[in-house]
Amino acid sequence: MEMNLIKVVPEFIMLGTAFLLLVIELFIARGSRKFFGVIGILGAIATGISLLYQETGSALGGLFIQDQVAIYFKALFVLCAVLVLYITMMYEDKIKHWKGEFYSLILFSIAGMMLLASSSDFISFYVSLEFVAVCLYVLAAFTSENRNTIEAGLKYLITGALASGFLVYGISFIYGSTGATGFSAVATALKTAPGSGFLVLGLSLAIIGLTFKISSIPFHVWSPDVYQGAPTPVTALLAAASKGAGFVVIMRILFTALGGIKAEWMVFVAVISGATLIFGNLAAMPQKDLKRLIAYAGIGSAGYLLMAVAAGSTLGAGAIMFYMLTYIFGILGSFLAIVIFHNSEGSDLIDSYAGLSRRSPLLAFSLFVGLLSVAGFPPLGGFIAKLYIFAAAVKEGLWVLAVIGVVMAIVSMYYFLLVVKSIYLRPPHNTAPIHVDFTSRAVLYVVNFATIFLGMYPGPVTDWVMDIAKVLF
Amino acid sequence: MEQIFFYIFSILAIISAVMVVSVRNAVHSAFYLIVCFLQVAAIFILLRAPFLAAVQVFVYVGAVMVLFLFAVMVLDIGKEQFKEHLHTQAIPAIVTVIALFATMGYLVSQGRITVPLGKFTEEALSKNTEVIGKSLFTQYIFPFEVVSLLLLIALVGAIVLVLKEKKGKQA
Repeated sequence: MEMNLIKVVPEFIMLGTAFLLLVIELFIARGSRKFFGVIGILGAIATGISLLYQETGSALGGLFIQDQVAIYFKALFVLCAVLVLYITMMYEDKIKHWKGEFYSLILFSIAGMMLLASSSDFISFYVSLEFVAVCLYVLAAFTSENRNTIEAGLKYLITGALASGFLVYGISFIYGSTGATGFSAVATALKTAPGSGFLVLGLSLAIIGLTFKISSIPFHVWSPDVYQGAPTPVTALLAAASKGAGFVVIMRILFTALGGIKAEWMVFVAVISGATLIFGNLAAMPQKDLKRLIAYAGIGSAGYLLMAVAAGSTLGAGAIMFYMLTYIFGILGSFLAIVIFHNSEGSDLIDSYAGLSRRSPLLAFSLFVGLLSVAGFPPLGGFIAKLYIFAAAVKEGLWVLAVIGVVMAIVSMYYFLLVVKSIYLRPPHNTAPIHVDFTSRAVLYVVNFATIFLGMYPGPVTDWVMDIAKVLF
Repeated sequence: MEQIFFYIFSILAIISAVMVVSVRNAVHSAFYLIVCFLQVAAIFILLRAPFLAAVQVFVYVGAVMVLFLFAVMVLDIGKEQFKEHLHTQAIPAIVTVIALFATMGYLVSQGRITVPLGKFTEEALSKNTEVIGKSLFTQYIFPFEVVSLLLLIALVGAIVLVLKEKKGKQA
């Protein structure tokens, strides 16, 4: 029985910062809470530094595993935390009550995702998943003066509870047919006893339950309404971090625990992936609201990532990890631009973005780079990530899926280019320039640079993720 | 003998669970849920897990359901608010349920659960609570602590969503 608490230090720092904010909130008067964001960002940076000193191993009686993949995803979540906290500082004036708790809950949810990335047992995984989910349920309904937000929160809660039911039911069958809850113990059990029908049933139900977290078919319905109705920083958190958390557990369950019966889940995941790709991208085309468009595009992205899951190889796992990195930069850069634009114009409609390039070239450029990277336009980061995913799918013989993916990538370029056309080519409704303050400029420059750099010179990062992806198998 | 009791309890549990979702009145629905929970508690006793059975009764039947009933009565959800809203989903739902039942029935008839049963020591029977407590605070400390965080967040969330800040707080 080994506790090995040193391995949990990054989570402790994150949780400690969250608690600190909850307590400070009690002692200060009403008013702005911008410095909460600064404290949170400092806490996240401290977490990031402590991650650099982490060594691999297991802790807390073997239910917590610190491998390279966990550390990589934790670093991604810390990056999300920094950017989302910054977006929250920009957004803060729209939150009327409980501003301090808003910052604190964001940190709690990130800490939960970090725990999720390290879970190596169905019990700790499920409990961490619910912890993240409860934080996000509250955050999605946070500005409850707004009708849309209440609707978003309720939809998120109800579909989340239903998906959670599927997941637990599935896990109970997996436990019933292998007699183990630890991921590596399940893998060992499968080596001696081949999978039974109950195992396949449990596996299918668990995958269906997990599709809620990554917003793919069949649990995708919540995402457009929630993305549109929830406060924008929460949308950013859901789009970037929550999706990453969903994929790290899918990889651990399918690759590590159930890798022995790949033949049983490969087709199932491939079908979900294909349906998600087609639905997400086609439904994104007629959208008028940019947040809603990003929600449908996010469903499409889940389809691409599931394609890499279906491939079930080291190449696929590495592709997922690289895709999440480029996705985080692309999507969070876009959301920062959206929040700044919304502060000035009070609208998220694509129509209102007309002529943005003449009013604020930097915002226009950030949306251009961010959205086209998500669409997979060369030479941006997202293009390389999609290329790796297609390569992984083709290598495993998933030709049909790869063709669907390529066609849908072209569709996604179409609807993102419509936004870009509105931004660059249409005449503005109003010619007043939009002011972007100095720090926001700096953040946008860094994020855009990262997206372009990952597209131009991906070599070191991709070599690295392909190398660490091996630990999953 | 045990099998007969198991079938009695589980059939009652299933019937009451179906009633929970099919009756119109929210209070009746809550009572059926209590019946269902009690049957599950009885099954736990058959499985030699008296602590779980007691927790099931205390926490679910005692605390959670009383809270449910309170909420239902305070909110005064009458029958009329439970009109059919889900006409369009009835047929797909029935198809899914039948498909799931058919799959389960087929799998049960195949009878392929061949996994050895869990470790069942004498200690687990005679000192049930002690064994559970020990493993909660040693092997399962990670999920246990995460659950405590979850409860804290649920508390904060409930306050944040429902209570509006008092105007009297200093500006």
